Amino acid sequence: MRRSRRPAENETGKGGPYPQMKNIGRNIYLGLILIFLYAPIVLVIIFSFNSGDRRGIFEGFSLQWYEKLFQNDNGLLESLGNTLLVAVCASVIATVIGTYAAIVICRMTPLGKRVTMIVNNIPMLNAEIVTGISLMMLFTFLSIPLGFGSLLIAHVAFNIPYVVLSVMPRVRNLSTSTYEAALDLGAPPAKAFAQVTLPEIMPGVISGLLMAFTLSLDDVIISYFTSGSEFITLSVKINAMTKRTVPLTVNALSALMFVAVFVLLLLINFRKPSKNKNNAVQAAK
Amino acid sequence: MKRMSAKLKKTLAAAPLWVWMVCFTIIPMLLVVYYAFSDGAGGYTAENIISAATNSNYLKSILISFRHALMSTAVCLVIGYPVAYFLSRMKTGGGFVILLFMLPMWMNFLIRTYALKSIIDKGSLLDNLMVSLGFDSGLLINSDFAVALGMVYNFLPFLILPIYTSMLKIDERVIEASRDLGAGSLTVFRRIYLPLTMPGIVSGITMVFVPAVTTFIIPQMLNNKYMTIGSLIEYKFKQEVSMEGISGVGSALSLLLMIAVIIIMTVVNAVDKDGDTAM
Repeated sequence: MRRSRRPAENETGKGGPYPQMKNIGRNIYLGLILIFLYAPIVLVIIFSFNSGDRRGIFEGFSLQWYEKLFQNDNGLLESLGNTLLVAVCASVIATVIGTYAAIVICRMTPLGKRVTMIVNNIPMLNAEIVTGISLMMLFTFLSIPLGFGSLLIAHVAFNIPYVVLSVMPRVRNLSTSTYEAALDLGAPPAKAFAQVTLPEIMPGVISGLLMAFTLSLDDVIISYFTSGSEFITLSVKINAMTKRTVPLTVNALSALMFVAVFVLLLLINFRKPSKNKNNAVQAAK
Repeated sequence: MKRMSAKLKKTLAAAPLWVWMVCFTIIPMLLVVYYAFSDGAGGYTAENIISAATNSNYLKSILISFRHALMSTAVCLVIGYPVAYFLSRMKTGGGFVILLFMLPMWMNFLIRTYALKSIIDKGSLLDNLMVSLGFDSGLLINSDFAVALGMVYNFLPFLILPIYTSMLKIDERVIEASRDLGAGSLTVFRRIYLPLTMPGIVSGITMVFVPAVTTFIIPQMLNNKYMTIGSLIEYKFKQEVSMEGISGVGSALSLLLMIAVIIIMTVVNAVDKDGDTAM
Protein backbone atom coordinates (compact mmCIF):
# COMPACT_ATOMS: atom_id res chain seq x y z
CA MET A 1 0.00 0.00 0.00
CA ARG A 2 1.07 3.56 -0.62
CA ARG A 3 2.19 5.33 2.50
CA SER A 4 1.64 9.00 3.09
CA ARG A 5 4.65 11.21 2.57
CA ARG A 6 6.82 11.65 5.61
CA PRO A 7 6.78 15.19 6.98
CA ALA A 8 10.58 15.07 7.25
CA GLU A 9 10.81 15.11 3.51
CA ASN A 10 9.31 18.55 3.24
CA GLU A 11 11.46 19.86 6.04
CA THR A 12 14.64 18.88 4.25
CA GLY A 13 13.27 20.48 1.14
CA LYS A 14 13.57 17.34 -0.93
CA GLY A 15 9.86 17.33 -1.77
CA GLY A 16 10.32 20.60 -3.63
CA PRO A 17 11.33 23.99 -2.25
CA TYR A 18 7.77 25.33 -1.97
CA PRO A 19 5.37 22.45 -1.42
CA GLN A 20 2.46 24.84 -1.04
CA MET A 21 3.24 26.51 -4.36
CA LYS A 22 3.57 23.12 -5.96
CA ASN A 23 0.07 22.22 -4.82
CA ILE A 24 -1.33 25.41 -6.35
CA GLY A 25 0.36 24.61 -9.64
CA ARG A 26 -0.94 21.07 -9.48
CA ASN A 27 -4.49 22.20 -8.76
CA ILE A 28 -4.47 24.72 -11.60
CA TYR A 29 -3.22 22.04 -13.99
CA LEU A 30 -5.79 19.45 -12.92
CA GLY A 31 -8.47 22.13 -12.93
CA LEU A 32 -7.70 23.16 -16.51
CA ILE A 33 -7.87 19.57 -17.73
CA LEU A 34 -11.15 19.04 -15.89
CA ILE A 35 -12.55 22.21 -17.47
CA PHE A 36 -11.52 20.84 -20.87
CA LEU A 37 -13.26 17.53 -20.11
CA TYR A 38 -16.40 19.10 -18.68
CA ALA A 39 -16.92 22.12 -20.94
CA PRO A 40 -18.71 20.13 -23.66
CA ILE A 41 -20.85 18.38 -21.05
CA VAL A 42 -21.86 21.69 -19.50
CA LEU A 43 -22.72 22.97 -22.98
CA VAL A 44 -24.84 19.90 -23.70
CA ILE A 45 -26.78 20.44 -20.49
CA ILE A 46 -27.16 24.22 -20.92
CA PHE A 47 -28.45 23.94 -24.47
CA SER A 48 -30.92 21.23 -23.51
CA PHE A 49 -32.83 24.12 -21.87
CA ASN A 50 -32.65 26.35 -24.93
CA SER A 51 -35.94 27.80 -26.12
CA GLY A 52 -34.48 28.15 -29.59
CA ASP A 53 -33.37 25.19 -31.65
CA ARG A 54 -29.76 26.10 -32.30
CA ARG A 55 -26.54 25.30 -30.51
CA GLY A 56 -24.34 28.30 -30.00
CA ILE A 57 -27.12 30.82 -29.39
CA PHE A 58 -29.04 30.50 -26.15
CA GLU A 59 -32.37 32.20 -26.72
CA GLY A 60 -33.98 31.63 -23.33
CA PHE A 61 -34.95 28.99 -20.82
CA SER A 62 -37.49 26.38 -21.77
CA LEU A 63 -38.29 22.75 -21.12
CA GLN A 64 -39.61 22.16 -24.62
CA TRP A 65 -36.87 19.66 -25.55
CA TYR A 66 -37.62 17.57 -22.50
CA GLU A 67 -41.32 17.64 -23.38
CA LYS A 68 -40.55 16.58 -26.93
CA LEU A 69 -38.27 13.86 -25.64
CA PHE A 70 -41.06 12.32 -23.60
CA GLN A 71 -43.42 12.56 -26.54
CA ASN A 72 -40.92 10.18 -28.12
CA ASP A 73 -39.85 12.73 -30.70
CA ASN A 74 -37.53 11.10 -33.28
CA GLY A 75 -38.04 7.75 -31.54
CA LEU A 76 -35.24 8.52 -29.10
CA LEU A 77 -36.89 6.77 -26.17
CA GLU A 78 -37.40 3.69 -28.27
CA SER A 79 -33.69 3.60 -29.18
CA LEU A 80 -32.80 4.16 -25.55
CA GLY A 81 -34.94 1.14 -24.68
CA ASN A 82 -33.16 -0.90 -27.36
CA THR A 83 -29.78 0.20 -26.05
CA LEU A 84 -30.61 -0.71 -22.47
CA LEU A 85 -32.06 -4.06 -23.52
CA VAL A 86 -28.93 -5.01 -25.45
CA ALA A 87 -26.58 -3.65 -22.77
CA VAL A 88 -28.31 -5.55 -19.94
CA CYS A 89 -28.59 -8.84 -21.84
CA ALA A 90 -25.09 -8.65 -23.32
CA SER A 91 -23.36 -7.68 -20.08
CA VAL A 92 -25.09 -10.44 -18.08
CA ILE A 93 -24.36 -13.13 -20.68
CA ALA A 94 -20.79 -11.90 -21.16
CA THR A 95 -20.25 -11.90 -17.40
CA VAL A 96 -21.42 -15.50 -17.07
CA ILE A 97 -19.30 -16.70 -20.01
CA GLY A 98 -16.34 -14.50 -19.05
CA THR A 99 -16.30 -15.67 -15.43
CA TYR A 100 -16.49 -19.28 -16.56
CA ALA A 101 -13.70 -18.58 -19.03
CA ALA A 102 -11.50 -16.95 -16.39
CA ILE A 103 -11.83 -19.99 -14.11
CA VAL A 104 -11.17 -22.45 -16.92
CA ILE A 105 -8.21 -20.47 -18.25
CA CYS A 106 -6.59 -20.31 -14.81
CA ARG A 107 -6.59 -24.10 -14.62
CA MET A 108 -4.94 -24.55 -18.01
CA THR A 109 -1.34 -25.51 -18.67
CA PRO A 110 0.97 -22.52 -19.23
CA LEU A 111 0.94 -23.05 -22.99
CA GLY A 112 -2.83 -23.47 -23.21
CA LYS A 113 -3.24 -20.40 -21.05
CA ARG A 114 -1.02 -18.33 -23.32
CA VAL A 115 -2.78 -19.37 -26.50
CA THR A 116 -6.25 -18.94 -25.02
CA MET A 117 -5.41 -15.50 -23.66
CA ILE A 118 -4.11 -14.37 -27.05
CA VAL A 119 -7.32 -15.46 -28.75
CA ASN A 120 -9.39 -14.03 -25.92
CA ASN A 121 -7.69 -10.65 -26.27
CA ILE A 122 -8.18 -10.39 -30.03
CA PRO A 123 -11.52 -8.54 -29.93
CA MET A 124 -10.13 -6.14 -27.35
CA LEU A 125 -6.88 -5.35 -29.13
CA ASN A 126 -8.28 -5.39 -32.61
CA ALA A 127 -9.59 -2.21 -34.09
CA GLU A 128 -13.29 -1.93 -33.34
CA ILE A 129 -14.03 -1.42 -37.00
CA VAL A 130 -12.32 -4.72 -37.87
CA THR A 131 -14.22 -6.57 -35.15
CA GLY A 132 -17.39 -4.93 -36.43
CA ILE A 133 -16.99 -5.82 -40.08
CA SER A 134 -15.68 -9.31 -39.31
CA LEU A 135 -18.79 -10.08 -37.25
CA MET A 136 -20.97 -8.51 -39.91
CA MET A 137 -19.37 -10.79 -42.49
CA LEU A 138 -19.96 -13.78 -40.22
CA PHE A 139 -23.67 -12.95 -39.96
CA THR A 140 -23.90 -12.38 -43.71
CA PHE A 141 -22.00 -15.61 -44.35
CA LEU A 142 -24.33 -17.60 -42.10
CA SER A 143 -27.37 -15.70 -43.42
CA ILE A 144 -28.24 -14.51 -39.93
CA PRO A 145 -30.46 -11.44 -40.37
CA LEU A 146 -29.02 -8.29 -38.83
CA GLY A 147 -31.13 -7.23 -35.87
CA PHE A 148 -31.42 -7.78 -32.14
CA GLY A 149 -29.90 -11.27 -32.27
CA SER A 150 -26.82 -10.32 -34.26
CA LEU A 151 -26.33 -7.19 -32.18
CA LEU A 152 -26.54 -9.19 -28.95
CA ILE A 153 -24.01 -11.77 -30.15
CA ALA A 154 -21.65 -9.01 -31.26
CA HIS A 155 -21.89 -7.21 -27.93
CA VAL A 156 -21.36 -10.40 -25.94
CA ALA A 157 -18.35 -11.19 -28.12
CA PHE A 158 -16.60 -7.88 -27.53
CA ASN A 159 -17.54 -7.77 -23.84
CA ILE A 160 -16.14 -11.17 -22.86
CA PRO A 161 -12.42 -10.24 -22.98
CA TYR A 162 -13.00 -7.35 -20.57
CA VAL A 163 -14.88 -9.59 -18.13
CA VAL A 164 -12.12 -12.22 -18.33
CA LEU A 165 -9.45 -9.61 -17.64
CA SER A 166 -11.42 -8.27 -14.73
CA VAL A 167 -12.15 -11.67 -13.13
CA MET A 168 -8.76 -13.32 -13.83
CA PRO A 169 -6.74 -11.61 -11.07
CA ARG A 170 -9.34 -12.65 -8.52
CA VAL A 171 -9.32 -16.25 -9.69
CA ARG A 172 -5.53 -16.29 -9.65
CA ASN A 173 -5.49 -15.18 -6.01
CA LEU A 174 -8.17 -17.67 -5.09
CA SER A 175 -7.04 -20.19 -2.52
CA THR A 176 -8.05 -23.61 -3.78
CA SER A 177 -7.84 -24.99 -0.28
CA THR A 178 -11.09 -23.41 0.92
CA TYR A 179 -12.95 -24.80 -2.08
CA GLU A 180 -11.41 -28.22 -1.47
CA ALA A 181 -12.23 -27.97 2.22
CA ALA A 182 -15.88 -27.38 1.29
CA LEU A 183 -15.78 -30.45 -0.96
CA ASP A 184 -14.15 -32.52 1.80
CA LEU A 185 -16.88 -31.42 4.16
CA GLY A 186 -19.39 -32.90 1.75
CA ALA A 187 -20.58 -29.89 -0.21
CA PRO A 188 -21.53 -30.67 -3.81
CA PRO A 189 -19.24 -28.86 -6.29
CA ALA A 190 -21.99 -26.47 -7.38
CA LYS A 191 -22.71 -25.46 -3.81
CA ALA A 192 -19.03 -25.17 -2.96
CA PHE A 193 -18.60 -22.92 -5.99
CA ALA A 194 -21.58 -20.74 -5.13
CA GLN A 195 -20.75 -20.36 -1.45
CA VAL A 196 -16.97 -20.37 -1.41
CA THR A 197 -15.51 -19.48 -4.79
CA LEU A 198 -18.10 -17.01 -6.05
CA PRO A 199 -18.08 -14.65 -3.04
CA GLU A 200 -14.29 -14.46 -3.28
CA ILE A 201 -14.22 -13.50 -6.96
CA MET A 202 -17.37 -11.36 -6.71
CA PRO A 203 -15.63 -7.94 -6.81
CA GLY A 204 -13.98 -8.91 -10.11
CA VAL A 205 -17.26 -10.25 -11.47
CA ILE A 206 -19.12 -7.07 -10.55
CA SER A 207 -16.50 -4.76 -12.05
CA GLY A 208 -16.47 -6.92 -15.18
CA LEU A 209 -20.25 -6.67 -15.40
CA LEU A 210 -20.18 -2.89 -14.99
CA MET A 211 -17.42 -2.54 -17.56
CA ALA A 212 -19.30 -4.71 -20.05
CA PHE A 213 -22.50 -2.75 -19.44
CA THR A 214 -20.74 0.58 -19.97
CA LEU A 215 -19.01 -0.60 -23.13
CA SER A 216 -22.28 -1.90 -24.55
CA LEU A 217 -24.08 1.29 -23.69
CA ASP A 218 -21.53 3.48 -25.42
CA ASP A 219 -20.62 1.31 -28.38
CA VAL A 220 -21.17 2.82 -31.80
CA ILE A 221 -18.83 1.23 -34.29
CA ILE A 222 -19.56 -2.46 -33.73
CA SER A 223 -23.29 -1.78 -33.34
CA TYR A 224 -23.24 0.28 -36.52
CA PHE A 225 -22.06 -2.71 -38.53
CA THR A 226 -24.09 -5.43 -36.83
CA SER A 227 -27.47 -3.90 -36.05
CA GLY A 228 -29.17 -3.61 -39.43
CA SER A 229 -31.93 -1.09 -39.99
CA GLU A 230 -34.75 -2.49 -37.84
CA PHE A 231 -33.22 -2.49 -34.39
CA ILE A 232 -31.40 0.80 -33.81
CA THR A 233 -29.52 1.69 -30.66
CA LEU A 234 -29.18 5.20 -29.33
CA SER A 235 -25.53 5.61 -30.33
CA VAL A 236 -26.16 4.43 -33.87
CA LYS A 237 -29.12 6.78 -34.11
CA ILE A 238 -27.17 9.77 -32.79
CA ASN A 239 -24.31 8.95 -35.13
CA ALA A 240 -26.69 9.04 -38.08
CA MET A 241 -28.07 12.36 -36.79
CA THR A 242 -24.61 13.96 -36.62
CA LYS A 243 -24.45 13.74 -40.42
CA ARG A 244 -27.21 16.36 -40.51
CA THR A 245 -28.09 18.29 -37.36
CA VAL A 246 -28.63 16.74 -33.98
CA PRO A 247 -31.92 17.93 -32.44
CA LEU A 248 -31.67 19.31 -28.92
CA THR A 249 -33.90 16.48 -27.67
CA VAL A 250 -30.69 14.43 -27.78
CA ASN A 251 -29.13 16.98 -25.42
CA ALA A 252 -32.10 16.63 -23.09
CA LEU A 253 -31.79 12.86 -23.08
CA SER A 254 -28.01 12.96 -22.58
CA ALA A 255 -28.38 15.44 -19.74
CA LEU A 256 -30.94 13.21 -18.02
CA MET A 257 -28.78 10.12 -18.42
CA PHE A 258 -25.71 11.92 -17.12
CA VAL A 259 -27.54 13.24 -14.07
CA ALA A 260 -28.97 9.76 -13.44
CA VAL A 261 -25.47 8.24 -13.44
CA PHE A 262 -24.19 11.04 -11.23
CA VAL A 263 -26.94 10.45 -8.66
CA LEU A 264 -26.36 6.70 -8.84
CA LEU A 265 -22.65 7.16 -8.12
CA LEU A 266 -23.40 9.42 -5.17
CA LEU A 267 -25.85 6.86 -3.80
CA ILE A 268 -23.30 4.07 -4.14
CA ASN A 269 -20.72 6.19 -2.34
CA PHE A 270 -23.11 6.95 0.49
CA ARG A 271 -24.28 3.36 0.81
CA LYS A 272 -20.82 1.90 1.09
CA PRO A 273 -20.17 2.60 4.78
CA SER A 274 -23.45 1.05 5.91
CA LYS A 275 -22.79 -2.01 3.78
CA ASN A 276 -19.38 -2.42 5.37
CA LYS A 277 -21.00 -2.14 8.75
CA ASN A 278 -23.45 -4.90 7.84
CA ASN A 279 -20.59 -7.11 6.75
CA ALA A 280 -18.78 -6.41 9.96
CA VAL A 281 -21.88 -7.25 11.97
CA GLN A 282 -22.34 -10.45 10.02
CA ALA A 283 -18.72 -11.38 10.47
CA ALA A 284 -19.01 -10.73 14.20
CA LYS A 285 -21.94 -13.09 14.41
CA MET B 1 -6.09 -43.35 -14.39
CA LYS B 2 -7.32 -40.66 -12.06
CA ARG B 3 -4.94 -38.12 -13.54
CA MET B 4 -6.17 -38.96 -17.02
CA SER B 5 -9.78 -38.32 -16.09
CA ALA B 6 -8.86 -35.07 -14.42
CA LYS B 7 -7.12 -34.01 -17.59
CA LEU B 8 -10.14 -35.03 -19.65
CA LYS B 9 -12.36 -33.05 -17.35
CA LYS B 10 -10.18 -29.97 -17.84
CA THR B 11 -10.31 -30.37 -21.61
CA LEU B 12 -14.07 -30.79 -21.53
CA ALA B 13 -14.42 -27.71 -19.34
CA ALA B 14 -12.42 -25.67 -21.84
CA ALA B 15 -14.39 -26.96 -24.82
CA PRO B 16 -17.38 -24.56 -24.68
CA LEU B 17 -15.00 -21.65 -24.33
CA TRP B 18 -13.08 -22.72 -27.39
CA VAL B 19 -16.26 -23.31 -29.38
CA TRP B 20 -17.29 -19.74 -28.59
CA MET B 21 -13.90 -18.30 -29.44
CA VAL B 22 -13.63 -20.23 -32.70
CA CYS B 23 -17.12 -19.18 -33.78
CA PHE B 24 -17.00 -15.53 -32.82
CA THR B 25 -13.34 -14.59 -32.86
CA ILE B 26 -11.35 -16.89 -35.13
CA ILE B 27 -13.84 -17.55 -37.92
CA PRO B 28 -14.76 -13.85 -38.31
CA MET B 29 -11.04 -13.04 -38.59
CA LEU B 30 -10.58 -15.80 -41.17
CA LEU B 31 -13.54 -14.41 -43.09
CA VAL B 32 -11.73 -11.08 -43.36
CA VAL B 33 -8.75 -12.92 -44.83
CA TYR B 34 -10.99 -15.01 -47.08
CA TYR B 35 -12.86 -12.06 -48.57
CA ALA B 36 -9.65 -10.08 -48.95
CA PHE B 37 -8.51 -12.75 -51.41
CA SER B 38 -11.87 -13.63 -52.92
CA ASP B 39 -13.07 -12.40 -56.29
CA GLY B 40 -16.69 -12.67 -55.22
CA ALA B 41 -17.38 -15.75 -57.31
CA GLY B 42 -15.56 -18.30 -55.20
CA GLY B 43 -12.23 -17.82 -56.94
CA TYR B 44 -8.92 -16.54 -55.65
CA THR B 45 -7.62 -13.12 -56.51
CA ALA B 46 -4.81 -10.92 -55.24
CA GLU B 47 -6.35 -7.89 -56.87
CA ASN B 48 -8.00 -6.53 -53.72
CA ILE B 49 -4.91 -6.69 -51.61
CA ILE B 50 -2.74 -5.21 -54.37
CA SER B 51 -5.20 -2.40 -54.88
CA ALA B 52 -5.39 -1.79 -51.10
CA ALA B 53 -1.63 -1.68 -50.79
CA THR B 54 -0.83 0.40 -53.87
CA ASN B 55 -3.73 2.74 -54.57
CA SER B 56 -2.40 6.19 -53.76
CA ASN B 57 -5.70 7.40 -52.32
CA TYR B 58 -5.79 4.48 -49.91
CA LEU B 59 -2.18 5.03 -48.90
CA LYS B 60 -2.95 8.68 -48.29
CA SER B 61 -5.81 7.66 -46.00
CA ILE B 62 -3.55 5.30 -44.09
CA LEU B 63 -0.87 7.98 -43.67
CA ILE B 64 -3.40 10.55 -42.49
CA SER B 65 -4.83 8.12 -39.96
CA PHE B 66 -1.41 7.33 -38.55
CA ARG B 67 -0.52 11.01 -38.42
CA HIS B 68 -3.72 11.76 -36.48
CA ALA B 69 -3.11 8.87 -34.12
CA LEU B 70 0.55 9.65 -33.45
CA MET B 71 -0.28 13.26 -32.78
CA SER B 72 -3.16 12.51 -30.42
CA THR B 73 -1.31 9.76 -28.57
CA ALA B 74 1.68 12.03 -28.02
CA VAL B 75 -0.52 14.87 -26.77
CA CYS B 76 -2.45 12.47 -24.52
CA LEU B 77 0.79 11.18 -23.03
CA VAL B 78 2.24 14.64 -22.43
CA ILE B 79 -0.99 15.87 -20.83
CA GLY B 80 -2.01 12.65 -19.12
CA TYR B 81 1.23 11.53 -17.48
CA PRO B 82 1.44 14.53 -15.11
CA VAL B 83 -2.26 14.09 -14.33
CA ALA B 84 -1.67 10.48 -13.32
CA TYR B 85 1.35 11.56 -11.29
CA PHE B 86 -0.49 14.33 -9.44
CA LEU B 87 -3.48 12.12 -8.73
CA SER B 88 -1.36 9.28 -7.39
CA ARG B 89 0.55 11.68 -5.10
CA MET B 90 -2.58 13.20 -3.59
CA LYS B 91 -2.75 12.52 0.11
CA THR B 92 -6.53 12.70 0.21
CA GLY B 93 -9.22 12.72 -2.41
CA GLY B 94 -7.14 11.13 -5.17
CA GLY B 95 -9.79 8.47 -5.65
CA PHE B 96 -12.50 11.09 -5.89
CA VAL B 97 -10.60 13.19 -8.42
CA ILE B 98 -9.89 10.17 -10.61
CA LEU B 99 -13.63 9.55 -10.55
CA LEU B 100 -14.07 13.12 -11.82
CA PHE B 101 -11.80 12.26 -14.73
CA MET B 102 -13.77 9.13 -15.53
CA LEU B 103 -17.24 10.61 -15.13
CA PRO B 104 -17.40 12.36 -18.53
CA MET B 105 -17.25 8.95 -20.18
CA TRP B 106 -20.73 8.36 -18.83
CA MET B 107 -22.20 10.81 -21.27
CA ASN B 108 -22.54 9.44 -24.77
CA PHE B 109 -19.27 10.28 -26.54
CA LEU B 110 -21.01 11.24 -29.77
CA ILE B 111 -23.01 13.98 -28.16
CA ARG B 112 -19.97 15.20 -26.23
CA THR B 113 -17.88 15.32 -29.39
CA TYR B 114 -20.72 17.07 -31.18
CA ALA B 115 -20.74 19.66 -28.41
CA LEU B 116 -16.98 20.00 -28.79
CA LYS B 117 -17.56 20.62 -32.47
CA SER B 118 -20.01 23.38 -31.64
CA ILE B 119 -17.25 25.07 -29.61
CA ILE B 120 -14.79 25.21 -32.52
CA ASP B 121 -17.24 25.36 -35.43
CA LYS B 122 -17.61 28.35 -37.73
CA GLY B 123 -19.34 31.20 -35.93
CA SER B 124 -18.69 29.70 -32.50
CA LEU B 125 -17.29 31.60 -29.54
CA LEU B 126 -13.76 30.31 -30.12
CA ASP B 127 -14.02 30.91 -33.86
CA ASN B 128 -15.14 34.52 -33.27
CA LEU B 129 -12.21 34.95 -30.92
CA MET B 130 -9.84 33.73 -33.62
CA VAL B 131 -11.41 36.12 -36.12
CA SER B 132 -10.95 39.04 -33.73
CA LEU B 133 -7.30 38.01 -33.42
CA GLY B 134 -6.98 38.38 -37.16
CA PHE B 135 -7.33 34.76 -38.31
CA ASP B 136 -9.79 33.49 -40.90
CA SER B 137 -13.14 32.13 -39.81
CA GLY B 138 -13.43 28.35 -39.85
CA LEU B 139 -9.75 27.82 -39.24
CA LEU B 140 -10.26 25.47 -36.29
CA ILE B 141 -12.87 23.10 -37.64
CA ASN B 142 -11.92 20.53 -40.30
CA SER B 143 -8.25 20.68 -39.39
CA ASP B 144 -5.70 18.33 -37.88
CA PHE B 145 -6.08 20.38 -34.72
CA ALA B 146 -9.79 19.61 -34.57
CA VAL B 147 -9.26 15.87 -34.93
CA ALA B 148 -6.43 15.83 -32.38
CA LEU B 149 -8.59 17.82 -29.99
CA GLY B 150 -11.48 15.40 -30.43
CA MET B 151 -9.27 12.37 -29.94
CA VAL B 152 -7.45 13.75 -26.91
CA TYR B 153 -10.80 14.74 -25.47
CA ASN B 154 -12.24 11.26 -25.93
CA PHE B 155 -9.22 9.08 -25.19
CA LEU B 156 -7.38 10.97 -22.43
CA PRO B 157 -9.12 9.13 -19.55
CA PHE B 158 -8.13 5.78 -21.10
CA LEU B 159 -4.49 6.82 -20.90
CA ILE B 160 -4.64 8.33 -17.44
CA LEU B 161 -6.22 5.33 -15.73
CA PRO B 162 -3.59 2.63 -16.44
CA ILE B 163 -0.69 5.01 -15.72
CA TYR B 164 -2.40 6.12 -12.50
CA THR B 165 -2.81 2.46 -11.49
CA SER B 166 0.87 1.71 -12.08
CA MET B 167 1.88 4.90 -10.21
CA LEU B 168 -0.10 3.79 -7.17
CA LYS B 169 1.94 0.61 -7.06
CA ILE B 170 5.23 2.52 -6.70
CA ASP B 171 6.52 2.19 -3.18
CA GLU B 172 7.12 5.67 -1.82
CA ARG B 173 10.11 4.34 0.10
CA VAL B 174 11.94 3.60 -3.14
CA ILE B 175 11.70 7.25 -4.11
CA GLU B 176 12.74 8.39 -0.65
CA ALA B 177 15.71 6.04 -0.78
CA SER B 178 16.83 7.36 -4.15
CA ARG B 179 16.50 10.95 -2.95
CA ASP B 180 18.45 10.13 0.19
CA LEU B 181 21.14 8.74 -2.06
CA GLY B 182 21.27 12.06 -3.85
CA ALA B 183 19.14 11.50 -6.96
CA GLY B 184 17.71 14.66 -8.50
CA SER B 185 14.16 14.97 -9.78
CA LEU B 186 15.18 14.09 -13.31
CA THR B 187 17.03 10.97 -12.20
CA VAL B 188 14.09 9.90 -10.05
CA PHE B 189 11.82 10.31 -13.04
CA ARG B 190 14.15 8.53 -15.45
CA ARG B 191 15.28 5.71 -13.16
CA ILE B 192 12.17 5.09 -11.06
CA TYR B 193 8.96 6.55 -12.43
CA LEU B 194 9.56 5.78 -16.08
CA PRO B 195 10.52 2.10 -15.72
CA LEU B 196 7.97 1.37 -13.02
CA THR B 197 5.10 3.00 -14.88
CA MET B 198 6.12 1.49 -18.24
CA PRO B 199 3.41 -1.21 -18.15
CA GLY B 200 0.84 1.51 -17.53
CA ILE B 201 2.28 3.69 -20.29
CA VAL B 202 2.24 0.77 -22.72
CA SER B 203 -1.35 -0.18 -22.02
CA GLY B 204 -2.34 3.49 -22.04
CA ILE B 205 -0.73 4.06 -25.43
CA THR B 206 -2.37 0.91 -26.74
CA MET B 207 -5.76 2.05 -25.54
CA VAL B 208 -5.36 5.41 -27.27
CA PHE B 209 -3.39 4.60 -30.40
CA VAL B 210 -5.42 1.73 -31.83
CA PRO B 211 -8.81 3.44 -31.56
CA ALA B 212 -7.23 6.69 -32.78
CA VAL B 213 -5.90 5.06 -35.95
CA THR B 214 -9.10 3.24 -36.74
CA THR B 215 -12.01 5.38 -35.61
CA PHE B 216 -14.08 6.94 -38.32
CA ILE B 217 -16.54 8.71 -36.05
CA ILE B 218 -14.29 11.48 -34.75
CA PRO B 219 -12.61 12.38 -38.08
CA GLN B 220 -15.96 12.33 -39.88
CA MET B 221 -17.38 14.73 -37.34
CA LEU B 222 -14.45 17.10 -36.94
CA ASN B 223 -12.49 16.98 -40.18
CA ASN B 224 -14.41 16.13 -43.33
CA LYS B 225 -11.57 17.20 -45.60
CA TYR B 226 -9.82 13.84 -45.48
CA MET B 227 -10.89 10.25 -45.57
CA THR B 228 -9.15 8.23 -42.87
CA ILE B 229 -8.61 4.50 -43.13
CA GLY B 230 -11.59 3.90 -40.85
CA SER B 231 -13.81 6.11 -43.00
CA LEU B 232 -12.56 4.32 -46.07
CA ILE B 233 -13.44 0.86 -44.75
CA GLU B 234 -16.77 2.15 -43.53
CA TYR B 235 -17.41 3.64 -46.96
CA LYS B 236 -16.50 0.39 -48.71
CA PHE B 237 -18.83 -1.68 -46.58
CA LYS B 238 -21.71 0.65 -45.97
CA GLN B 239 -21.94 3.13 -48.84
CA GLU B 240 -20.55 1.30 -51.85
CA VAL B 241 -23.05 -1.43 -52.61
CA SER B 242 -21.19 -4.61 -53.39
CA MET B 243 -21.73 -8.33 -52.96
CA GLU B 244 -24.37 -8.40 -50.21
CA GLY B 245 -22.62 -5.89 -48.00
CA ILE B 246 -19.24 -7.56 -48.28
CA SER B 247 -16.46 -5.60 -49.90
CA GLY B 248 -13.33 -7.30 -51.19
CA VAL B 249 -11.22 -4.16 -51.12
CA GLY B 250 -12.73 -3.27 -47.75
CA SER B 251 -11.68 -6.68 -46.42
CA ALA B 252 -8.21 -6.25 -47.85
CA LEU B 253 -7.89 -2.83 -46.19
CA SER B 254 -9.13 -4.32 -42.92
CA LEU B 255 -6.58 -7.10 -43.22
CA LEU B 256 -3.78 -4.59 -43.75
CA LEU B 257 -5.05 -2.57 -40.82
CA MET B 258 -5.17 -5.70 -38.67
CA ILE B 259 -1.58 -6.60 -39.58
CA ALA B 260 -0.43 -3.03 -38.94
CA VAL B 261 -2.07 -3.07 -35.52
CA ILE B 262 -0.49 -6.44 -34.68
CA ILE B 263 2.96 -5.15 -35.66
CA ILE B 264 2.55 -2.00 -33.61
CA MET B 265 1.31 -3.93 -30.60
CA THR B 266 4.22 -6.33 -30.82
CA VAL B 267 6.70 -3.47 -30.96
CA VAL B 268 5.01 -1.59 -28.14
CA ASN B 269 4.73 -4.71 -26.02
CA ALA B 270 8.39 -5.52 -26.55
CA VAL B 271 9.11 -2.37 -24.56
CA ASP B 272 7.04 -3.81 -21.74
CA LYS B 273 9.35 -6.61 -20.67
CA ASP B 274 6.78 -8.73 -18.88
CA GLY B 275 4.52 -8.74 -21.91
CA ASP B 276 1.83 -8.72 -19.27
CA THR B 277 -0.15 -5.66 -20.22
CA ALA B 278 -1.61 -4.20 -17.07
CA MET B 279 -5.20 -3.23 -17.41
